[in-house]
Amino acid sequence: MTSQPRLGHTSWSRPRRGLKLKPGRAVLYLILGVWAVATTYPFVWLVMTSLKSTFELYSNPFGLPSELHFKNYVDAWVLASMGRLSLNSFVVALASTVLGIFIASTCAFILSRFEFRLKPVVWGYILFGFLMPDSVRLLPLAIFTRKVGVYDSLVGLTMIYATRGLPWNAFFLSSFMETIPRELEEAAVIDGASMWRVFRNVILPVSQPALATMATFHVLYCWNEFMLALLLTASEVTRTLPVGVHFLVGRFYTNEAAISAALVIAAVPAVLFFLFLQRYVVKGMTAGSLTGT
Amino acid sequence: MIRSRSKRPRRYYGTTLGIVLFLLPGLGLYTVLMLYPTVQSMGYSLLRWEGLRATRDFVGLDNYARILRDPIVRVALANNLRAWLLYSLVQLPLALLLAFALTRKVRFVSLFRFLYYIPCVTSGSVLALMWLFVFTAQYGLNNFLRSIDLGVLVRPWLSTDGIVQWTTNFPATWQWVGFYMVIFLAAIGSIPEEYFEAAQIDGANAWQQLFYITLPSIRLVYIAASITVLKDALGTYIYQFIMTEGGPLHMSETLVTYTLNEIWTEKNWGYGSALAVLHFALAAVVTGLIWRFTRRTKDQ
Repeated sequence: MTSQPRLGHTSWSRPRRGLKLKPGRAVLYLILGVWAVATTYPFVWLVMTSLKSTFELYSNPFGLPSELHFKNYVDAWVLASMGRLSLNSFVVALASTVLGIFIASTCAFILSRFEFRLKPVVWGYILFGFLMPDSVRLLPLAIFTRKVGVYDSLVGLTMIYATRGLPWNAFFLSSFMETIPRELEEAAVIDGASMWRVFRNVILPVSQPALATMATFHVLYCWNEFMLALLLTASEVTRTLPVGVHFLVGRFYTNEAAISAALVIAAVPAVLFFLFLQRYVVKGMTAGSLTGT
Repeated sequence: MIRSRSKRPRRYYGTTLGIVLFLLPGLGLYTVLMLYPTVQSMGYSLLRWEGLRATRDFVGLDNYARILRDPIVRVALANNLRAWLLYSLVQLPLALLLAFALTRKVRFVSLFRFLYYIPCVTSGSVLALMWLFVFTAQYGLNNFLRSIDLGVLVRPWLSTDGIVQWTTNFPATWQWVGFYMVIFLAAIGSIPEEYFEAAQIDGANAWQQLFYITLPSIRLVYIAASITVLKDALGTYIYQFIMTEGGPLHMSETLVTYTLNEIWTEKNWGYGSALAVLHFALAAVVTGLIWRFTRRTKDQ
């Protein structure tokens, strides 16, 4: 039997087959299994709770629901206006990702492809954003957004999220763009292309993998963000999902089943999104997660 | 074909105007929505300004002097410290252990990785409510304990001094294990496979491989992660904010929940801003540490 030829770097994510289960391996699986249960059981419990009647919630808190009580989902959807909240979250995530890609990629294009005297200053200026916690900007932002009329509006949140992501996004995109061979754009420049055309038709298409990673992260960030969304919105029609579910507890605290249903509705899209775009998340995390974001 | 090329990229096109126009949308929004508000907060922190009451008196560093005297700040920072203890003594070692286990040629690697990462893609406010149900006195965990005849362990988890400080920090510890695990996985993945093969031929067991190959190779990543969790710990707030609102009696307050409470509930805008600036300063020091550290790692 010949051993399999090594094809460059062995990926850690690829399981290898044909190994016998030895005691040591049983311990490995035990460790992995225990933590798998620890991470998923609370969610499973939540889903089960969301399918029980209020009576069964107390009489049978841990078993499977005796009958599937889908009415909780209807209650959550109608009473907690989950439809509206989801739509708001979706709109903000989408718009802010488009805007975020635009402002970060234009900056990254300049910072990765051009030399100019103030470049280190611009970098320092942008990377300074890594230092700022959200809490430090909240009060001035609340006052400012009121003044310019984007308080309690999805437009305001969209712009604030896109800008919040700028330091990391510009850093991440420009380190990708650095690796694009200069020959690619030189040909276009010799043909007389403008900066915008080079950016739009050469750099952006080539940067697609990095843009996808950035967008995946940004969508998840917007979908889950709580503090800014809580304190820069006031009315029910502009709330996003994380804020909306927070207010549920005050409104119908006694109906745990319906709240659980609402939580499931809020969590499922992000989990599905992650399921399908997992590789982009992993790629982005290995690239820059410890740079201080 | 011989081409000479200087190391520095040539400035081949791109006028100053072009560069400015491209930077403008990003830098403009960043200045208005990130930088300027931060500077404003620093200005606010020098005022006595109690929200709706219109007068804004300049009081210099009085708010900062008040921070030093404020017993609640100490309580809050102690809770941030607890978070840091949990992150560095439980979260990171657990993440490392799982990452190591996943690189030991086991099956279902991507399934495990997916499951471990689920909490990281779920909104903190959803998770906080979920854990609120778990810890609520008459529900969840207590019912579970009763059902397995451990009724003696039943506690009011969110209102007992000495307990609530830990139960409010526990969910964040649990949530981000997967995040650091993925980072360690990547670090372990970049260790040349030959090291492990050679060790196996020499008869090294799994523990010896862990201590003599894996740990030394990813030491720097682990240290960087240790500093990053310090920053996480400084900013932790959502579980306290939603599960207990920092209570009862400020017992589970953290720096950020106390800041939000001062600004939004108490309308102490000047003092709240000083607390926010304190958080900013501490976070900046920690981020500076991370940068210095990662730069040093790159130079090596």
